[in-house]
This record gives sequence, structure tokens and C-alpha cells, in this order.
Amino acid sequence: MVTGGGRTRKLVRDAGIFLVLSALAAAVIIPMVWIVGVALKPPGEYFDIPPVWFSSDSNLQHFRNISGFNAGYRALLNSFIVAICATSASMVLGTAAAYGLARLRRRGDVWSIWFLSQRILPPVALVIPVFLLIREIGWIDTYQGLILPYIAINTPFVVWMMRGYFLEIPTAIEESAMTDGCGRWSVLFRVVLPLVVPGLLATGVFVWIYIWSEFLIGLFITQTSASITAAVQLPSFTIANDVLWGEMSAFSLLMATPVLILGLFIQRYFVRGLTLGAVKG
Amino acid sequence: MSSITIQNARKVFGRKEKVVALDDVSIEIEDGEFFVVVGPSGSGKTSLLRIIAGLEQADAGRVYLDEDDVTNRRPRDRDVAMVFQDYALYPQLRVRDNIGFGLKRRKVPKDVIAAKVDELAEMLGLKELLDRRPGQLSGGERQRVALARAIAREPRAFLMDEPLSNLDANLRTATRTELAQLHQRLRTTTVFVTHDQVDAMSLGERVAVMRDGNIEQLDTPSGLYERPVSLFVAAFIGSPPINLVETQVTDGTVTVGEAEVPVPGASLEGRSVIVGVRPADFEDEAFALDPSWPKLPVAVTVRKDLGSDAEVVFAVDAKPVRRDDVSSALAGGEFAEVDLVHGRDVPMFAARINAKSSSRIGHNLQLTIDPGRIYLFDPDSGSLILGPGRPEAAVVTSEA
Ligand SMILES: Nc1ncnc2c1ncn2[C@@H]1O[C@H](COP(=O)(O)OP(=O)(O)OP(=O)(O)O)[C@@H](O)[C@H]1O
Ligand SMILES: [Mg+2]
Repeated sequence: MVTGGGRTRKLVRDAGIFLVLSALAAAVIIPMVWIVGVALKPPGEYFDIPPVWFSSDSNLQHFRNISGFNAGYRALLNSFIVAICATSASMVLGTAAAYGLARLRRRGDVWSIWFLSQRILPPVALVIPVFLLIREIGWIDTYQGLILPYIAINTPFVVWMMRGYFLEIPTAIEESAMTDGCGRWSVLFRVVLPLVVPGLLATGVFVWIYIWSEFLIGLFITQTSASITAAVQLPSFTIANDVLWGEMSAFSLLMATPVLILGLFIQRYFVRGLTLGAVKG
Repeated sequence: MSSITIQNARKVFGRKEKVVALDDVSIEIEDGEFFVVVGPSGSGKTSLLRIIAGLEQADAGRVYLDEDDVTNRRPRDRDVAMVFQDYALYPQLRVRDNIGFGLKRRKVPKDVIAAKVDELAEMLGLKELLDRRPGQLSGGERQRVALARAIAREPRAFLMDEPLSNLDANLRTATRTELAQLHQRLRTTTVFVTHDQVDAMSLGERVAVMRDGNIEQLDTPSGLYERPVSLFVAAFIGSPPINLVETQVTDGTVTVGEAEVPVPGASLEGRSVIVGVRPADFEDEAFALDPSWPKLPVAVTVRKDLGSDAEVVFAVDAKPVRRDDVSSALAGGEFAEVDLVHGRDVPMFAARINAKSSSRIGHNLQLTIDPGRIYLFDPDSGSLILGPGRPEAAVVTSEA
């Protein structure tokens, strides 16, 4: 009887968990499906009552229209170039610094908190000084004008994440490599970095996604199709007092696709990476 | 293979609170020797090893491999191999590549490496494991991979920091034997650090006992056992540890419980001493070699049958010895300091006696003490006054 009662209770509990998770999943998935529908619908059907998920007249017209707005598809390319450059640079700088901090005796703790504090500042507080600085250098509306601040913002985060990973590696492994004939550099490249590949991936993707979707700094620095990023372009699908829901949805979809793919690809490392960094940081 | 010479090595850690890990250590380790460094936790064993490997820079002193002064050389240029306590295998590499790693770093041709790896795998029974990764190995297997990795490079010396301490008792004994055999075969200079005196006694050709950053005594295993220079070494070496009481020499004898043990040499008369009796130097009266040996009647509180002999534990009515040097030597050791059965503050002794002894828990037992094998220590300095290793009552009278 006791086991029977226990089983019933477990069933009820499992059902409860299932319901909550389903609700959460729906909250995430429904808007995405809706965006797909709208991106393909002809304009007249956006607000049909009752709502139609997928119109029978679905077509790719909105995707074609995107080229005519602002920087068009160029914005995606801009975002891509800026994100790749800034991510690579932050990863190299941040990883090197993190390794140093993880292996410095004692002092490392103080420094890594200081590094992280850079990330805690609200972006709005940064954007004006960043804008003034970049204008002073004469980099407004250039890639480097975006890349530089993105490196500055993300490097501390990389340091914090990667330091957690490096601290996980027993120093004995590195010392063993040193007696085995490695210098500092070959210890780093042959022994240490291969061990933190999951961390590098998780951190890199995180940084890349941050830059890909960054809006505020992009808004201040970019002006023309020479540098306008996708995130900045997205809200501009409005003319006079009309919102071009179809084009906007199509563009959102394009913006979201790489993030989704990356997310799925590294999902496994991602959760582990974040928790590790959190515990060890 | 090389000899290792350490001259006046000193290492201090910490900026504000200074910790002297090594005070002033000089050793000459011969080419091909199996040299053991033993001592309680924190005595500086690891620091010494790391200074030899170059993983730690000494604050003062020099390190030589043969005639080469390697004091300022980087670890990679010293050509010594380290075996770490938790093995420190490269987790991402297969066993094969772990073993070959050092050779690969030294640009040895691939086929030579492969042949060497196969040879070592054969020798250490790792053949089936070559394509696994360290995470898929048991503790003992990892240990052997770590050994193989060290051997592969044919270094000038092996440095081993407690390589057996993560193994369970049986595996530990087996690996100890393997290590001894390997050394017989390879004759590579080996410095073996342990805090386990059984490791030290069974493996070392010579053993250095460390205490607080200094070498307290450097001797052969039997030398340490028979001629400990101090109470610290006497208490550290031997299992179960030596039994100690504090007393005075009166009428040419010392009292251990109810036993009156004659002490040779008139110069000791009236002097305060600490008497040490090794567990193996007791015997059940029924098996005593000499009927004239002093008798000690005891009540057995514990009896452990060990097969070849039996260990009995009993309380002795005497003043217990409570000293820093003894307790630091015994820290972590299995040693009953108080009489838990009767709740009295008297020393608990252990004796190794003939397994055929009819003694039983709770019963009385008549023990004898071999008077030629007692140790006397000076209570002030802790140094040895008289011991079995100095036959014919060679009494040390000076404090030297
Ligand atoms: N990196 C370090 N920083 C500060 N103090 C240290 C460091 N390494 C060792 N010490 C101190 O130096 C002393 C000797 O340490 P060491 O590791 O050589 O001892 P050990 O004999 O190997 O001990 P154990 O048996 O516990 O391994 C200890 O008091 C230790 O706390
Ligand atoms: Mg140690």
C-alpha cells in the first residue's frame, strides 16, 4: 500500500513537472513559429481573426524586399564580420589573461573579480563615453569602431569564464609536461588548451551571440550600410507610420538562425561551461 | 642515469608569514641508488623533490646531476622524470600517447617511439590498455601508465612523490614489489618520497628521515631501526611504533611497568631517561629465548592475530611520554595513546609475540623483554643515549 501511494504521488508529481515544462516550452516555441508564419504570409493576413498560423499564400516576397531597406542583407554581413573579429580577439586576449591569472599565486582572485565588474556595468552607462571615444578616434561608422568596444566589453567575461576552466586543471599535469620536455608555451598549446576546448567553445559562442545581438553600441556607432549591423537594422522596418511586419519577421528569422544552430551545436558544453565558470569564478 | 647532489638547499614560502619548507639540506644520492625520503606531513619532502625537478626554485643552495650544475636550468632541460601522487596523466591522450609524450617532445622518430611504447606496455602489463584514455583506467593501471611514461624517456633520474598513496593496501604491496623489481632491472637513480615508513623500509637502499625542513637522519633502513639518532626517528620508524616510558636509572636498572631491565654502564646512574622497547623485542615467556630476561606481567586488552605472529596491546603502569617530537613522528600513525578500556592516563604498549602464544583478551600474560635491545633517550635533547645498534653497551655520554 505504501508503495502504491508512493507511486501515485510520483505520477502526480511527474505530471505536474510535465505541465510546467510544456508551458515553458510553448512560451518559447509559439512566438518563433508565429514569426515563421508572418515572414511567409502576405501582408493582408497578419491580423486575421481567428489567427492563421501558416497562410495558404505563403511566399518569399518579404525576404526579397529586405534588400531594399537600409543596408539590406549587407547588415547581416556586417554583423557577421564584426562578431567574428571581436570574438576572436576577445578569446585570444581573454584566454591568455585567464591562464596567467589562474596560475598566478594568490593575486588572481582579486583581479578576476575586478575583470568581471566591467561586465556588470549597465551598457547604457558605457555607451556615451564609448561613442565619444570612438568619434574622437574617427572610427564612427566603421567596423573597427564596433570591434574595439566589443573586445573591451567581452574580454573580461572571457577571462572570468576561462579562468574557471584553467583552475580545474591540476597543476601536476602541467608540471609533468614540463619535466617531459615542454616549455611554458608548449604546455599551454599541447596540454592545457586541448583540455579546455569545451570551455573555449562555450565561451566563444556566448561572446559571439552577445555581439551578434548587441544593439545599443551599434546604434550609436553605425550610420550607413558601411557598418550597420543586423540588430540595429531590425527595428528600422517601418515606413511613415506603418510597420512592415512581414519583412521584420523575415529578417528576425535570418538573425535568429545562426544563433539557433550554434545553440543546438554546443548545447551540451554550454550548460556545463556556464556552471563551471560560475562555481569556480 | 646520474648521481644527484644537493648542497645547502633552502626554501622559504610566503611573504608575510614565512614557512620554512627546507631549512638547510645537503644530500649526495649515488648513481643508480634507490633513495627514499620519508617524514611526517609538512616536513619538506615534496619541496625537496620539486627543487630537484626544477619545478621550484630554491632560495639558496645548488643542485647537481653528476657534475652538471642544474640549479638554474628549467625542468625540461634537466632530463628527470617525475611520478606524481595522482599520476597527472594527460586526460585527452590515449595511454599510448601518454607514454610516448616525452619522447615525442624530444623529436624521437615515430617508429622508435612505437617500439618503446610496446616494449614498456609488455613489461608493465599495459598491452590491452594502450588505446584507452586515462579516465577509463583503474587507479593501479594509471599508476603503471605513469611509471611507463617516466621510464620511456630513460631520464637521468626518477622522482616519485608518494606514488603509492592512492592505492589500496593490497595493490600497494604489489606495486611496491614491482617498483623494487623495476629498479633492479633498470638501475635508474630514484628518489622516492613517502610518509609511509613501510614504503621507506622496504624500498630504500638509503633513507633520509626529514623533520621540519631538515634531514634528521640518513641511513640504511636497518640503521634507522637499530641506531635512531633521536626519539623522533625511533618513534617514526617501526610499525607498530616503539613503546616509550619516562623513568630514571636506579641501581643499574630502568623500570618498565613491573619489569626491571638492567642497563649497562655505570655513568647513567641516577639519570632521567626515556626508555624505548620495540614491539618485536617483547616475547611471551613461554617462547622466550633466555629464561633470565626481565618479566613483565600484563593484562591483554587487544589481541590481533597476524598469522606469522600476534600483536597484543596492554596498559603499562608508568609515566606516559608526551612530547612534540614523538607526537609529530606519530601523527597519523595507528597508536593507542591512552587506555580507553580502563580510562587511565597510562601508556598503551604493543608487543609482537609468537603466534602460538595462548594469551587472550582480558587475561593476564607474562611477557619478557630482551634487555640487550632496549633504547635509552635523553629526555632533554631527545637524542639516543644507548641502543641495540651499539652492541657491548657502547654508551654515548656526550651530547654530540
Ligand atoms: N606553494 C607553497 N606555498 C606556501 N607554503 C608551501 C608551499 N608548498 C609547501 N609549503 C609549505 O612548506 C612546508 C613543506 O611542504 P612540503 O609539501 O614539502 O611537505 P611534505 O613533506 O611533502 O608534506 P606531505 O607529506 O603533506 O606532502 C609545509 O609547511 C607547507 O605548508
Ligand atoms: Mg608532499
